[in-house]
Amino acid sequence: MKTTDPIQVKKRRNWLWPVLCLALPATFIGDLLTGSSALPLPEVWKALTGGDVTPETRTIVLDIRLSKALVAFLAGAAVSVSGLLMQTLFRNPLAGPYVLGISSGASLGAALYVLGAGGLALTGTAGNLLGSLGLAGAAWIGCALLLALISSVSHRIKDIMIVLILGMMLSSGIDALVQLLQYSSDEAALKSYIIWTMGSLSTVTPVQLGLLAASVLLGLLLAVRAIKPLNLLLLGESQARSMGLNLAASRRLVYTATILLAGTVTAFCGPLGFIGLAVPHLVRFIFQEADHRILVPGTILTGSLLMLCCDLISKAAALPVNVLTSLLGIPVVIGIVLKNRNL
Amino acid sequence: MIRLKNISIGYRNRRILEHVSLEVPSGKLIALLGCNGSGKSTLLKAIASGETLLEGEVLIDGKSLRGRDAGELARLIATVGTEKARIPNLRCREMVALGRAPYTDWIGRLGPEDRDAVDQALAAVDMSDFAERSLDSMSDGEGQKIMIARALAQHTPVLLLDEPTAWLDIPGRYSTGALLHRLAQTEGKTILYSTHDLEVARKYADLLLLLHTDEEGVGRLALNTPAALEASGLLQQVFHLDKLPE
Repeated sequence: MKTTDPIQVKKRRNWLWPVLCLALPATFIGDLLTGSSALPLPEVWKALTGGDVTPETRTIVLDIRLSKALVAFLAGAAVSVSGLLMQTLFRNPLAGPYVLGISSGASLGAALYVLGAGGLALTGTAGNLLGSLGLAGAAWIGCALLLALISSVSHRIKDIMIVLILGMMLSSGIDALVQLLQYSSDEAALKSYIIWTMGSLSTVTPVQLGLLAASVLLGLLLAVRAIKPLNLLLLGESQARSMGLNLAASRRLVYTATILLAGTVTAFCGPLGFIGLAVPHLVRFIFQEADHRILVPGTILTGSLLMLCCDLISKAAALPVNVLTSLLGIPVVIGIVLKNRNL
Repeated sequence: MIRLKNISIGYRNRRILEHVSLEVPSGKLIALLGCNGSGKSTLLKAIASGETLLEGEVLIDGKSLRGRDAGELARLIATVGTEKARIPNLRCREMVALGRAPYTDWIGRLGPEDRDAVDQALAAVDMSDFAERSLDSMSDGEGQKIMIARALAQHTPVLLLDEPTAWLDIPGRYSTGALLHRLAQTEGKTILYSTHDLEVARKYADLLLLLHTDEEGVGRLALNTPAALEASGLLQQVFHLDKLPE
């Protein structure tokens, strides 16, 4: 693995892209076919194409399974790319929305919204645009605050382990704050909050799905726009600037993308374990590349694919999807820590 | 050519140089020497990004750096920092190609001209055979050569290096000194590098830029050939040496 023979890498890429591009729709269809009630492929196909099926089948396929699969597809790409952006920007292989506490920031924003002012109204407005926008907006603000905090710390402290420990302390602190909020909230607000925390891929309403899709697509577009800055940032900020990079503008671009991607997903699906941390490493490993022109599209495809797989397995084994993403991500974290003991 | 026009450098509460003017010629290797904390990095930063420039003006080949954005600066000055470049899965050729960033499009696509520049830069540091090796598989000295090639690919009249030999072994220090000397001549660049290695600097640098404080505690810059600075006794005085080795 030390010398990366260009011919082998290219060969590998020649079959990796088609495999990923084929596996993604296959898993998507597999996800539509999996669920508590067994539906054969022709039935599912009919429901999707508006054919003649029972109303129950239509509801199961369109409202439950399709929406959930779309959420998994979007959320997987979003958290994975946000992890890649943070790993490069902070030059920290262990960075990710969950580990650095950025998801917690989004959670705090969402909790304040659900338990606070919006709480009473939310039970009725969860599905509508205003309620969804409020929730997403609160998560964006929380996410932005945490990002600002982490970036100001990481500018002063170069030791990435310390930044990481601070991130974890921040998430614990925020969890405590949220618990305090719960304690002092009334019953109705608390109930809608509990429902939100149980939030998974399936609790996303159609309006939320629309908002999620829009934010994720915009976030991914910004991430693509950030490809060249990210490649330069591999060398560190001051070296990147000497190579012509406008640091302030690049940071703004990457932060905005991260907030849109990680913030929105956390608001609607809750924190999704370690997937944002693990997928970029997986992509670097399978492609043997450091160039973001490969890493960004690779992370989008692999993130979506893995999230759909997690969703599929969670349905087949009746496990919460969070459990699976953590089980998947934690070995990667441990592997990285053991591999670079002198981080 | 670097021209410092009446510059003051330092930080708000600590000024290192006041109203200094100086001309550093092209096609020469210049070693920036001074004790720890004398302000070598501060001077390099003042030239490279204007970050620590308090007053005055820096001109490269007659062009003032004032008010230029990062993209324009990157076509005039290339820098090599003190950090080791150990990026897993990044091949040497890709690293050198990043030096073309000021000239490439939004996604960093290389044209034929850029590819030639990369090949030439790799050849100039004798690393063409390493083009496809990944950076984390190379020695410190080899990695440093690749970083120098990346700066060469940037096609700038001036190259600044901050302690490029600091973490190299003794043969690595001498070979880097020889390489920089050769590049200054063949590429016609102004190469300014900060160092603590007096021996390598005396052997390979065309000129020494000595950063020191005089009896009254005022920061001074002296630019001259190694022989002239020795003859005047300034070199010995700054580094508290009775006698320089032959």
